[in-house]
Amino acid sequence: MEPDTSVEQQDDQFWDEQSQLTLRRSGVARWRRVLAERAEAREGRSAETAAFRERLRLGPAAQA
Amino acid sequence: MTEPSPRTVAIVLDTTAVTAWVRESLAVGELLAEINDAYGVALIPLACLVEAAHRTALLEQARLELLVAHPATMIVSDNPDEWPALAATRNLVDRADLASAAWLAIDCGVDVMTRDARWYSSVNGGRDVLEFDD
Repeated sequence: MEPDTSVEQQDDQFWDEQSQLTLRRSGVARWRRVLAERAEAREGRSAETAAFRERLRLGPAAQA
Repeated sequence: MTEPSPRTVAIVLDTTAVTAWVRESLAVGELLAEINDAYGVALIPLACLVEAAHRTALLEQARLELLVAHPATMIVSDNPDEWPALAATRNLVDRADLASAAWLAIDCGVDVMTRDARWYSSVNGGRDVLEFDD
């Protein structure tokens, strides 16, 4: 039996790994943008959030 | 020798996010990769970890152990001194584990990552939530 000298399978495997890596980097970059956008939005309402935090600290009676 | 600088808190993972990690969620995996790249940390309330372990029937304990050992995660217990805030938050989300996640997020000034944002609709207008779907 002749040894398989074809490189197609290796190429396929290589591209598959490269594609997966690219997709993963793309996904990670997407979350980087999402986290940055979310942080910016929170910054815009930080005073409101601080007031809400302090109300919670007072306990359930203060919520009633 | 100087101490390494502390990681910046980036997000809180709730029970649904931990459960999703167990089920190999791409979203949670990618988010943790990004947080690790940025030298950040995702906080996991102990109550959420325990509830997720219960909900996955501990069939995937190895995945939970991977999450706990991940460099970008930290397990956090409730602070007994903050019981009034936790009780007040519990009234808003109707579950003790989600109250831990919501209060931790409010206290740290970050979002809760969850599969279902509806649980948090009464917490600060439901705005401190990062919902995912995969």
